[in-house]
Amino acid sequence: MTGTPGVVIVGAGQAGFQCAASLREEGFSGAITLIGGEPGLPYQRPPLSKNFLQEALSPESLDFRPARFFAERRIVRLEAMVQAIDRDARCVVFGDGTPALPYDTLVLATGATNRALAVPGAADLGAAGLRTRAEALVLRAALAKAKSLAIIGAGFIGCEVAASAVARGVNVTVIEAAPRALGRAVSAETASALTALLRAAGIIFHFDATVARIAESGHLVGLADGRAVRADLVLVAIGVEPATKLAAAAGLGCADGILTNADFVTTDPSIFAIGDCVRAPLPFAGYSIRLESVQNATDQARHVAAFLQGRDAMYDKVPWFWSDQGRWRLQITGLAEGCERFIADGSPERGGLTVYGYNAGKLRVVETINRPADHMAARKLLAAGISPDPGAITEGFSLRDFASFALPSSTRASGTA
Amino acid sequence: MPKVIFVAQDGTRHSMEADGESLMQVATGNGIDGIIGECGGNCMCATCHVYVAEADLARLPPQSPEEDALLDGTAAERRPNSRLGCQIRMSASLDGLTVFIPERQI
Repeated sequence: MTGTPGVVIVGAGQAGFQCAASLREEGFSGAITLIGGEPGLPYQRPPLSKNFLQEALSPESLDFRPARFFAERRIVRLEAMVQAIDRDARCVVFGDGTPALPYDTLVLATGATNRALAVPGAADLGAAGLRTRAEALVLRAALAKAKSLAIIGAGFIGCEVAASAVARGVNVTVIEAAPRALGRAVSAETASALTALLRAAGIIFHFDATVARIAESGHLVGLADGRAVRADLVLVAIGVEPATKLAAAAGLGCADGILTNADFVTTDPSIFAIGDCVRAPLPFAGYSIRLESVQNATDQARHVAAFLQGRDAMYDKVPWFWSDQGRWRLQITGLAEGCERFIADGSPERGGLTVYGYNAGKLRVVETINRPADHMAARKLLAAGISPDPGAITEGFSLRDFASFALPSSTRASGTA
Repeated sequence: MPKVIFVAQDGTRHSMEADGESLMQVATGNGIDGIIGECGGNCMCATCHVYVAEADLARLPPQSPEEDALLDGTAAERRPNSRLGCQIRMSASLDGLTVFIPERQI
């Protein structure tokens, strides 16, 4: 393959980085070019809303790997913005005059972009959003001076930043348009438990609160019902949109995500897509789904690397997520969507909370707060398709104990399937 | 500076100086193969699994419930000397610590 264009990866986040690294692990010997739109080495985003805001961690501590790692593996890094994909010429085109880069295989790992707040005055906001390392540094510096913070959006990022900021002694108000936190990502039981914990930490929540305007040079959030929240700092965290512009402009199928088959091949057989930007069939879900998580990004990346090397296994992962909210660790495995019944067991303050979601008698999701053993057991049980009887979940039930006799011993030893 | 020795599957020994960093950070920061640290040291993925040399076990900090739970999900066999690299922070008291890299992390 030496001498041919090889694999070009657009996007150097979790999925893009992993794909480049896994291609080499899988024995791919051709050229690999990893194109990132941000300066510096590829880095991990999860800490940006968590401990990176609380501790004086250096920006470099977020790097996945040192520069040497890329050099030793002949992974060429480009810091550039891709302007277009020329599918006929099989090359990517840059906007800054960099010569077009040809590819044999193109992997789109373009991620997502923050949804913008579309109300009058939104342009005056100081710390507009949080997605990049640079934005996290701006927010961290601003939090050091701010006495009050208003966060628009009670999703994972909004709640994580709220917990991080309140731990720094900042007065935090969270404004959410929906009736509860964390949207449809978790059960009402888990959302309300977490909200109670964050309220106990001093965070004020306004639900069913639609933002109508931003005023006073970005220091006042005006709500549709006439109320107003004033804060030194306002952060918008109202979710993301998949970065599909490049793919759509190239004529690839997109519908709230770049559409791919179960091997993450787009409607062009030379182009793959992985990570937050993708909507792909997932056997566990039973439908095409777009997920925003580290697990999704890395598992899809590894699958594409193996697939390109001719190792063709079915992709059938069970999603898992985590979210640190101060000292509370929320862990989710499976999918809450479509569950018709949730059973809650325990309490976060007393040994942790586990919420079991069932659909048609089958366990579909397990959400835990500060109960890591149940989370780990759930990952294995869901992968094996084994459900505890909902009637068995009474006080004192332990999913870890259930897993230890319900799972075949090989599964127990080998971990996630 | 305290030293930690990573022993690869093929027996290669990588000796690294570190103070304050976790074993996972030392390994990934120095490009040592076989330690992944997919979740970034958040005790979520169990891909920084190491086997600690028996002689060093006693001087390690105790396992948290999180680490114990995650060790249930390691790709390679869990053994009595299994630990997660992200949960062990290098310090003078751990100088000379030797850990073995398991055959797989995924």
